[in-house]
Amino acid sequence: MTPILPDSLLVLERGWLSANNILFFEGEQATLVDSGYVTHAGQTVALVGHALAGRQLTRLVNTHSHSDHIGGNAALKAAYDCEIIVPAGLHAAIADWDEDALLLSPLGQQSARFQHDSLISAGAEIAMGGLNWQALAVPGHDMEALAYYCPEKRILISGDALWENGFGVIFPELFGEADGLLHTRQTLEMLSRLPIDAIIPGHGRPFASIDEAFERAFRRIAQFENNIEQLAWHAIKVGVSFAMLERRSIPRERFADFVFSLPFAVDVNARFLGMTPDALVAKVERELLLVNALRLEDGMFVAG
Amino acid sequence: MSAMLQSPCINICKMDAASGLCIGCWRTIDEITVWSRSDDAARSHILAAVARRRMENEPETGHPTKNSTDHD
Repeated sequence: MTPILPDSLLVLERGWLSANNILFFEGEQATLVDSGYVTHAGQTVALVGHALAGRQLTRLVNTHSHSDHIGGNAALKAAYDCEIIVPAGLHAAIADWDEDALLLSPLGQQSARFQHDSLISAGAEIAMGGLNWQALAVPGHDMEALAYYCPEKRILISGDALWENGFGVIFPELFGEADGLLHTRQTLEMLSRLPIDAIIPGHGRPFASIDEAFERAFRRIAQFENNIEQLAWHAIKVGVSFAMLERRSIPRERFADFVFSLPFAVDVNARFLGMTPDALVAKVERELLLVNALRLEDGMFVAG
Repeated sequence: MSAMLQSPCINICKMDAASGLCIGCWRTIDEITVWSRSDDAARSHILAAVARRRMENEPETGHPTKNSTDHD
C-alpha cells in the first residue's frame, strides 16, 4: 500500500544506486534530505531545481555519509549554496575526507568532496516542510546514522536503518569492529515502538505496511545473529551488485578481476568465508544471475 | 492510491541536453520528479510515452545507452 504523504514534502525516487531525495517545501524556501550518488548529481540538481519551482534550497540534511546519500552534496552546494547539515558523529570523517571511514575505498565507490556547515545530533529537533522532526540515533548499518521522525504525522525517514524489505548491510563486524548486530537489533526495537503510519526509506518506495517490514527486518537480523557467514555472504553480494550498478556492464571474462578489485569483497571472504577466488567469483556470478542483479547479454554482464 | 507499476529507472540518471530526456529511462525531468506521487494511471501514461520515444528514436540514433542490446 502506498501511503498518503503531506503535500509539503516530495520524494524523488530513482533506482537503488541513488538514495531517495526528500524535498521539503517551506514557503519560499526548501530543505532536502540526502542527495544521491555522485554520477547522478547533474540530474539530481535538475530534479531539485524543477521541484523547487523558484523556491530557494536553503538546507541539505544527510541521514548518514555513504556514497549513495552524499554524492550530490557538492553539486547541490555549488548550485544552490545551501547549508549542509550532517549527523554529528560524522564530523571528523567528512572534515578529513576519510575515504575508509566513508566506505568509499573499501567498496570501490566514488563521491565528490564537500564540507559541511553544521551538525545535527540525536535528540535534536529540526523543522522541515512545516513539520517538526526528531533526529533519532539509528546505529547499525552506519554507527553514526540518524533517522528523522515526525510524531505529529507519524512518518519516519529511516535512511538505511529500515527498508520495506530489510535494511542496509551491517558493516561493523565485517570490518572487525564490534556490536553492529547488537546495535541494529536495538535500533529496530527502538523504531518498532514508535507509532508509525508511513516510512520513507533511503531506497525504494515510501510504504505503509509497517508491521510486515519490521517482521522481515527482525527475521533477517536473527538470521545474521545466528550465522555471521550469512551476513558476510549477503554483504559481498550487495557490494558487488552496487558496484555493478555504477559500472553498468563488463565483459564476462573481466568480471573476476572486477570482483577482486573490491577490497571489501576480498577481505570479507578471507575473514569469514575462506572460499578460493575462483569459487567466490563463481558463486557471486551464479547467485546474482539468479536474482537478476546481473544479466548476461552477448558475453557482457549487465547490472540488473 | 494504487501504484504498483515499476519505475523504468536503470540507474544511469543522466539527462541528454538535446532531447531533454534521461539517457537511461527516457523520461523528462518532470516525469521523474512526479513518479513517486503518481498513481498507476499516471505511471502507465508515462510508461507509454517512454515506449513511444524509444520506438521513435532507437532505430535512427542507435542505442540510448551503451549496454542496451535491442537488436534483431
